[in-house]
Order: sequence, then C-alpha cells, then structure tokens
Amino acid sequence: MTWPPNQPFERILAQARDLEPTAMSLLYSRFLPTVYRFIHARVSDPHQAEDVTAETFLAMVEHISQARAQDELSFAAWILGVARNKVLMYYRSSRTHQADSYEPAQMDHRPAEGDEGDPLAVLTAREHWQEIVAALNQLTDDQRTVVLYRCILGYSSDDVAKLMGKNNGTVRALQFRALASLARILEATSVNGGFRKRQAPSAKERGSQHGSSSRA
Amino acid sequence: MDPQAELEQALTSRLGGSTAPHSTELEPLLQVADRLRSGGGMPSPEFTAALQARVVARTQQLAAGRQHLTETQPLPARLQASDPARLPDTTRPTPLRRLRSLPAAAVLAATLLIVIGSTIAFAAGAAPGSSLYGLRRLEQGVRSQLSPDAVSKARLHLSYARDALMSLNTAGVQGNDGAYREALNTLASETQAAQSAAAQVPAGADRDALSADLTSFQTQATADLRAALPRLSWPTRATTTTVLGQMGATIPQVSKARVVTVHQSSSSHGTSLKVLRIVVDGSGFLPGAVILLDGHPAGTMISVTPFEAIAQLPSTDSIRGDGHSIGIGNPNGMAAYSTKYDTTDEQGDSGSSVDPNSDQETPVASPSPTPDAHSGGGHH
Repeated sequence: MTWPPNQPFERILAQARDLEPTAMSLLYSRFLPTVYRFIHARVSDPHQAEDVTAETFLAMVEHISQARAQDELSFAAWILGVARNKVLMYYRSSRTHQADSYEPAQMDHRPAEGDEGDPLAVLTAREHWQEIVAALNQLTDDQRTVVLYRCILGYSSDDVAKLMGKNNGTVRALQFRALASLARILEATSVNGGFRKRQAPSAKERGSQHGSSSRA
Repeated sequence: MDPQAELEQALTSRLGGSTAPHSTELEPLLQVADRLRSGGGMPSPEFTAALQARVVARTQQLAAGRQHLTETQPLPARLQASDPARLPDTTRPTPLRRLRSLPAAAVLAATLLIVIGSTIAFAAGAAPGSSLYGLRRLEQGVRSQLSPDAVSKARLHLSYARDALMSLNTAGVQGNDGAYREALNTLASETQAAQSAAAQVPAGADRDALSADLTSFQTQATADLRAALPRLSWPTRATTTTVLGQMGATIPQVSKARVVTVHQSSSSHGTSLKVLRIVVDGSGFLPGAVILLDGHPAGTMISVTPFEAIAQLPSTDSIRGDGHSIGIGNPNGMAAYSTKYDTTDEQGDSGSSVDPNSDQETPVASPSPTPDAHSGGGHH
C-alpha cells in the first residue's frame, strides 16, 4: 500500500467522491488491511471474511458520495461503520437460517487450497483465531470496538477516542475491561477445551449495536 | 498508578515494539493484546487483486451513469443492499441461499475474473487509436500511483513515454492521424509526469541518472517529432510543434492575427479593387513560411520577417465571421495557430496596382485604417 507523494488524503477523497477510478483504487489499497483485519476479527472464516470485505468495499464505491468524512480518521470511522454493518448482517442471516446447527464441514477447520506451510499449523492457527473471534463476540459492542481499533488495527488511544466520539478516560476504561474479559474468556476456553460452536454477538450486545448501550 | 492508565502505558509501549514496566496483574491482559495483534492476517493476493478490479470497474460504471451492476456480480443479494446504515429485511441473504448459490457464485466470480483478466491483458498491449487504449492508460495511471517512491515513479512514466514515442513513430509512418495524436498526448503527459516525479527525487546519484535519462529521451523524442512533421497535416503539425516547445525546442509562436480588406482603385481600369490580406504577428517565423488558413496554406506571401508574415488573397475569398483558424507554417514543418483574429477594412492608395488573381508578388501600399475599421471575433 503506497500513498502517492504530495497527495493529501483530502484530495484523494474528493477525487474518489467524483468517482475517479485511480483515487478509488488508492482508497481501497489504503484501507484494505484495516477493513479486512476488522472483519476477520469478527468473522473467523477467512473466506467469509473476504466476502464481507468485498461487500464493504463495493458499498464504499456506491455510497462514498454520502460520506461526510473530511479527513483520514473520519473516513476510517465511516468505512469501519460500513464494515460493522456488513458483519452484523452476516450474523443476522446466520442466526436466522443456521441457528445453532453448527456443521464442522462448513467452518474453517480445513486449510484452504493453496495455503502455504504445514496444514496442521494452519489448522491450529485458525482454531486459535476462531477462539479469539468467539471471545471478542462475547464483549459489549463498545468494548469490542476499542479492542479492535486499539490492538488489531493499531490506532492510538487518542485516535480511538475520536473514532468513537468518546473521551480518553472512557476509552481506557473500556480497554481495561475488554482485555480483562477476554483474558478470562480465553482462559476458560483453554480449560474447557475450546469453543465448539460459532459465537455470534449476544442479544445484549446486539442491542448495544443498535445504539442502546454504551456500557464501559 | 491507576490500573487503567498503567495498562494504557504498557499497551502503548507493547504496540510500539518496546516494553514498559508493569504490574504482574496486567500481564494476562497484555498477552491477550499480543494475541489480537498477531492475528487477523491479510486476504490472499488473488482476492486483493480481484476485488481491486471490481472496485475500479464499479467506479467506472457508476461514473458512466450505468446502474444495477450488482445483478451481474457474484454476491448479488448482499451487494444490492449495500446501504451501510439500513438494510431491508427482504434483501438479506440467508446462509442456505448463500450455500446454495456458492457454486453459481464461484462460476460467476471465475467468469468475471477471466473477463477482467483477459480485458486487462489485452489492454496491456493496446496501441494508441484502439478502443482498449483508454483502459491501458488507466492501468498505467494506477501503476504509477502505486509506485513506492519518486525514482520508481519517474522511471515508470519515462517507460510509458518511450512506449508512446514508438507508437507515435509507427502511426506517423502509417499516416494514422488519430493514433498519432493519441500517442502524442501520452508522450507529452508522460514526459511531463516523469519530469515532475524526477524533480521530487532528492539530489544525488539517482536524480542525476534520472536527469541524464530524461535529457537523452527528450533529445530522441525531439528528433523523432521533427522527422515526423512533413508527413502530418498542418493542424497535427501545430499540435506536434507545441509538444516540441514543451521539450525545449525553438518553435514559432503566433501572438496576433488580423484579416484586412483593402479597397484600392485601379488607374488603368478606372474601377475599384478589393483584396484580402492576412497579417500574422508573432515570433520564430522563418524565410519561406506560409500563412495557414483553416489548415491549408493560403494566398500569396507578400512578406515574411521573424516577427510578421503577410499573405494576400483574392477578394472572392471570405474570412469574415467565426470558425476560421489562422496560423503560420515554417518550411521546417513547424506550425502555430492564433487563438483569434480581427477583421478590419482599410483604404489603399489610388495609384497602387494589385491584381488579386495573380500569383506574382506585387508591391502593395501600406494600409491605413479607415474610420469604419472594426474588429471581428473569429475563434477556432
């Protein structure tokens, strides 16, 4: 991902709003790692994460003219909001039609064709990541968002506060409780031998995703 | 220290690649953060490239005013409902539909990839004048934008300029004016882009090497363009002359043009004669230059100096009104046009003798503006 020299983000964003293909392509390259990591932290299967990522970027193209973002950080907040909704849609559809009828063959317990390295290592890594995703999905929406922005996407705490529209103290509190909860959940997982089902967001946190909860 | 603040401090250090002292109670939390940081990964290169092609294609379609592309894409239901804020229930996909549609989606995706890949592959070899050349230029633009540094970017632009020069030479020999003009536009823009990128390279060996390559290329391009001039139409020669000027060649320039209708009385016939004179002012005019009217040499040249050229036409020719172009053509093939011209009426001396139908150059009295002289607004 290389941003052209002497090209302010605002200019590229303006060109992308005018549907200039090169500018749109640059935005894609810039935000693909962020968006994919964000989604993969919610959807453990890499192929499904890629599907949701594709939907997110095609939605970006469709709706970029409506984005009010003026700088890189506010644009990141916008596109991650798009990604978040796509993830939510993914889980809604899974909940409606799959319920808890988890079928191992449909999940990611098999290495994809073309994956490099030891298949056993790939399998193990995916299972570990699936455990993390399942644990993340047990957090509240705000807790999960802080952890995603801070630990997976690498934003500074100041940027996370701006992205979420909260003050630094609240972000620190959310971060502390989120990591503590994750440590507890993952510890219990290792004791119990791992998750046996895909963990969708709980009813409480789904409620919070609709804006009714901001529990820190 | 407040545990939350302590965690923040330790986490900031950890994410930055260093460690800060912290209490042991925080260690499990930091280990979780490490697991999060190390996970996630990146999508496959194949997916990355394919999605980029889809993003660009969709952008172009939207820009062209076409809608409903989503009906032809591999993930139709979800993509149709792409509003980030709200999604109608009726359009939400279901896992069963998704699973059932997987083979069809895979076929569609593969087809799309093949089509896009084939188009891009064909476009990569598209020559100026072909319908795919625009796509090739777009692909070149994306590649240059993704260049990792100014040196790579400048070299990429230079290579595109070299390709354009080769295409231009071929089109010039074949007499393909459209392809020549397209290649000329590419040559001009890519040379300029290479110069801009080279200017951003810090002083040093890289910059010196780039400058030498650019100078060498411009010398070659200037020679090729000069050689192509005689084979071109005068309007295309004018465009080529402009590019030659951008590359540092001395070129003719037109600052002003006027069309003068001179009314003269003939002492031998006792009748009044009317002739048209085209006067072009500028610089770089060479002996033997001709005045160009609407892309062709016009009338009989009366005089040529480095700064002014005058030609005379029979009065039957009409140049009044808009829509004409007036310029100068040097014997070396370079040409330049004015952006506008004035029209005036002037009264000649009664003793002068002019035969407007003669090709012989005849001394003409200096025109003197009459009170009814007016200025026209012809543009081309």
